[in-house]
Amino acid sequence: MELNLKLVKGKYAFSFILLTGILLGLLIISLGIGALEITPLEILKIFANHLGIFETPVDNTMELVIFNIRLPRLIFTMLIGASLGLSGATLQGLFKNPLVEPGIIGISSGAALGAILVIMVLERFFPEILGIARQWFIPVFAFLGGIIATIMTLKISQFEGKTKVTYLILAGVAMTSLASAIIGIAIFYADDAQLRTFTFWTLGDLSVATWDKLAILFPITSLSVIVLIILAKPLNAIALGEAEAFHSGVAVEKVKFVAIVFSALAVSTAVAFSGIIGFVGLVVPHIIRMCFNADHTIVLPASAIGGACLLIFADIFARTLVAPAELPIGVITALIGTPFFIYLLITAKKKRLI
Amino acid sequence: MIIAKDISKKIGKSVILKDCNLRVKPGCFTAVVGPNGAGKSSLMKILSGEIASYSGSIRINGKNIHHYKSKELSALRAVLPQHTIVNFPFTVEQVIEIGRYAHQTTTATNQKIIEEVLRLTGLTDFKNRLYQTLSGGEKQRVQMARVMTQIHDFSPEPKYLFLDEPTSSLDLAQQQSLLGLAKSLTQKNVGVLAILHDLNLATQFADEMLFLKKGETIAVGKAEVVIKQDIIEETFNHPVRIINDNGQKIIIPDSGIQNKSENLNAITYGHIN
Repeated sequence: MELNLKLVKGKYAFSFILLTGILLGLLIISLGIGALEITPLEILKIFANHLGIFETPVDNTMELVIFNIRLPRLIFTMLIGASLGLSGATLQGLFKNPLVEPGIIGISSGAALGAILVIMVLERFFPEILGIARQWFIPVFAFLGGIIATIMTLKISQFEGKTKVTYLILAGVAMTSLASAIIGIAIFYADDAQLRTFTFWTLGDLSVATWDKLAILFPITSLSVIVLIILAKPLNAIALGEAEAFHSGVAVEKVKFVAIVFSALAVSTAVAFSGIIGFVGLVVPHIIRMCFNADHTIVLPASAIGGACLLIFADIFARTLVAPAELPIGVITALIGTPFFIYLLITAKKKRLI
Repeated sequence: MIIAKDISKKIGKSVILKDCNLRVKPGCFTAVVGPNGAGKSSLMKILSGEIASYSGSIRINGKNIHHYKSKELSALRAVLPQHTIVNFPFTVEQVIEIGRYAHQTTTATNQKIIEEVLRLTGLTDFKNRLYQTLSGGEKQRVQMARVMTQIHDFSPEPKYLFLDEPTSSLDLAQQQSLLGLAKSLTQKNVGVLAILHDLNLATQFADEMLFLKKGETIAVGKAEVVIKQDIIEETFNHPVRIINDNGQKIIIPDSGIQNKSENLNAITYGHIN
């Protein structure tokens, strides 16, 4: 029995050591790769110098590139990847359905719509209200858009107090189409200065990272990550069914509410800053479940780290493949993710895991 | 003891339950029987706290059900559903572990309880198998292990186990083994309440029985007292015979085949004539 406990803990530790290792590796590669190649040794020197650990002569250009361009973008990418992966895992657990992802139930497009409306309407007609608060207005409205779209999707799909997954997905598709249509109209009337291209909202863009944006993204994402990870145990019970979870002592409605609000918060904020990046929320939790375990105490934190890894990995390609231009990040996440996902699907089907 | 007093429930104008009185005693297997739509499931949902809108009162171990927090209630009573679908690759042990959610016990204690329940249910060799790859009968045994884990405790307080048509997807041997497990719990100060479709399973395992029909109580009491031809016929609107096999009563519903063949003969003769 003691041995068994150790084994369980060993497996848990192993998955996190492995994922954190991958993440660290990707962080160093990502900082080094680009128009200006910087070796891992130089990266270490620059950080050591910057943090005052020891004085060593470093290349000023490299230091500038790292601290002004690559590091903020890297942290930005990491936070957004973590938000998407973790929210995907939470929502899949909550709806007991491996098909659910933040995009499917309308959070992403609702958030994009909210953000676009702020930029279009407020900026055009009430620029004085915006002022310095502009940085905050966009995430707040993105959150409102995301949560309204989610609540509408849920209300449409509820029947006799229960959420039917077929209706949920259909309602989500409907909400997404509606929001996309309105986004389309908004973009049609927008001038270039107001909106970036359609690509920004539909395929995402990570090149917009700045330290200022991180000051908003970081606290919101951290809060959501902490709250969602706490839900792991009740989500395990909900995976058996809502009635079963209630009988086991889970406050089901409360857990549902908190899970939806904080998933919507994390995803909406990500969308407000980087547009809609699909696929991470769907595929990462699956990869984690198939590689490690379906226990949410592992799946939730591991999906956050895994989401960060996938997005950093994808971003390395997005900004180097056609340099100095950039490929839309959403294209890369789909290109990398889909073949791997199909491979996992085929093997999982053989093992009857799905 | 669970004492349910004058439980009534209406949805719109239709009566789901009317003045139902029931006692679920620790150490006793109580079966609820009745045709579809009799209100059996509603009664169980009310007793488990799942349905909160009804009239009447429920006391569990002397305390009103509303005064329990949901975790306290879950440490006292567990519910085994008809069948449970799990869409994620959980192992058997992970599913069973969910039974400890409401308890504040240490991981080591939980592990000990799980090992004990695995042994009792004969699932020790299954604990690392994936739940999704099990057969229907095996899955139900895992769920049984989960609910046993939930009410496994070291306190002297009586615990309760509710079974909602637990045998509907099981074969003959599996039905006997599952209800046998439930029956064995009655020796550990557990009160069992089971909705059963099969009257013969009910007569075989139940100490007490409640007959429900359209929300009304037809009979309630000791099994040997209430298993009577007229009660069963009134409850199910169908003629039955009861035969006694070495003290166990066996209920045989009238199949009507006799009549049908007579009708068939009449039709055939009619045709010839």
